[in-house]
Amino acid sequence: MNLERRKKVVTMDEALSHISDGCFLAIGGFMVHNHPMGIIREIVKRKIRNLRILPTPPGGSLDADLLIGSGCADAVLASYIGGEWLQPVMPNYRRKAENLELKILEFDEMTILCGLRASAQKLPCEVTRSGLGSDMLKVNPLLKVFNNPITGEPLVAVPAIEPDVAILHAQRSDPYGNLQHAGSVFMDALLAAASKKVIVSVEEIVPLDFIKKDPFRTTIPCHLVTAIVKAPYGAHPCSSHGYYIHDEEHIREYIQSAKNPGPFQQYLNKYVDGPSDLSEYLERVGGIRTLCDLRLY
Amino acid sequence: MRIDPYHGNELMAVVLARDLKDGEQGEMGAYSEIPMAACKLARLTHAPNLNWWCSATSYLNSTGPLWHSSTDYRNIVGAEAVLHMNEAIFYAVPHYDFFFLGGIQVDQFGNANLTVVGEWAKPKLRGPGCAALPFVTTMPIRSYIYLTRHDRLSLVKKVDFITGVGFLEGGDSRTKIGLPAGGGPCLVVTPLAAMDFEENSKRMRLKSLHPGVSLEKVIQNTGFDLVLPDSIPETSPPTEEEIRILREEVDPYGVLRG
Repeated sequence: MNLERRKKVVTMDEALSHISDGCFLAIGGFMVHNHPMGIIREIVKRKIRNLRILPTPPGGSLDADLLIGSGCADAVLASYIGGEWLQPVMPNYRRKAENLELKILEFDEMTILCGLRASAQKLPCEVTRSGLGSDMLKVNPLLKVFNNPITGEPLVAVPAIEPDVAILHAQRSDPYGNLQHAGSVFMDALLAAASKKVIVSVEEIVPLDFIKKDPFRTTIPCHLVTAIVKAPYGAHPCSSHGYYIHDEEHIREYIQSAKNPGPFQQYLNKYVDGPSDLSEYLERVGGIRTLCDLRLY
Repeated sequence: MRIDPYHGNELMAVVLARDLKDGEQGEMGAYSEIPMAACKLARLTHAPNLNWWCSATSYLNSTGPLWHSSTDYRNIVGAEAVLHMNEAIFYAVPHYDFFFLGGIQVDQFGNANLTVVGEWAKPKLRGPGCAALPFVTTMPIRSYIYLTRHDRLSLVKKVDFITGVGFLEGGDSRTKIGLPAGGGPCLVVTPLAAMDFEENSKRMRLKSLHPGVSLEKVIQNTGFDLVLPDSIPETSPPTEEEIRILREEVDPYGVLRG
């Protein structure tokens, strides 16, 4: 009998085999931080289609916008897709929404959180007060108001939200998928618990002994993780919390390009379709000099 | 002593800070330079026991310098606690006294729209989304609304989409739909003025005009009739000490002035 523990470290190619046309895809991280951008660029490059995406609650930015603008995603379940101080609404998201080319399921943070919690607990729904009085309830048929049987007051029932695959970016993993975040975990742990499969890009792979020295620091346990891809700077141009900050200059270039289909296609050619792998991408965005400049505390 | 010039964002932070009380708990979301500056300033001027969470990234009482992104990990370096964001709903949010919100549109009853301008199914302007507004505005805690513009596009008679639940149609319409008592907006701060809400009707009421701003200018730039009290004072301008603390201790990199 083979008693060797199975390692979960795979190549980018192997990781991508879990994501196919029509997949319900959740994306970890938040705003311009901790998004698995390397995996997302590979999805775009492979022209995977008809994705329904859940940008990390509460909010996604380039991660969602790249999948929407490139035609990979045609439906979103989201509470926010913007770029904080850089861009109030992400450009492809706004254009496709206003051209009625995108199916939008209107949720807020709490209703997404409830749906994920229901899925993680294998419950059909969770309840909240969020939505009462707001127009979100008028445009989202999945949210149901009911009078709760304990006090009789109205509450909102949110159905379980179970993504097929969650893609995350964390800072460290051992070969078996025990993850450590070096900054905020955002909602990654909940996404992992709610999703059928969990694919994670990490800055570095560390030995199991490193994790065992301080198990309090493990943020997502290995049994929730399907596959690990080693991807240093794999969150670029977003930050990798605790390792490097967001590349503001590049994000501004992205936003400027994404405002019109022509320049956006040029962006895709240069940064997504052109580079053969993550290393070549990192060369194109400025190489070692740029990457060192982003290591700030 | 009056400091001139100060930046409009600094004035807004000062106005918000003065309203926060010692011993309270509060919250802000992502991209919250002005509210975060207000909380930091309040702790250094009159409210050392004020605790604030940035629920976007979920950290407590960060004392580092102000950054544009409240989700930047450099905020965590100066924080006292960090939670998984989904845990904040147990340990942080239900214990708040107040929170801050903004919007593309805000109406006369303090309802806020961050979702869409025009019809939802055929939007003129697609907004970023509902964010946390439907959730936080149904909690029985008070809200501060801040807007970095004051014009007829942002202050409208009726919002196109209710994302943040204000006083709905005024009066007791919040409790009528089953929301717990005690919630709703308490103060609206813009680059031109501060506004609160009339006790019974819950209509927005002019509270003070910022220095150098005329009543006519506010009326012209507001898309509905504000309640106008008999006397409308000038907003007290930031003191020398408030500006010194803001620039030296809260915002050394000039994010608010940027």
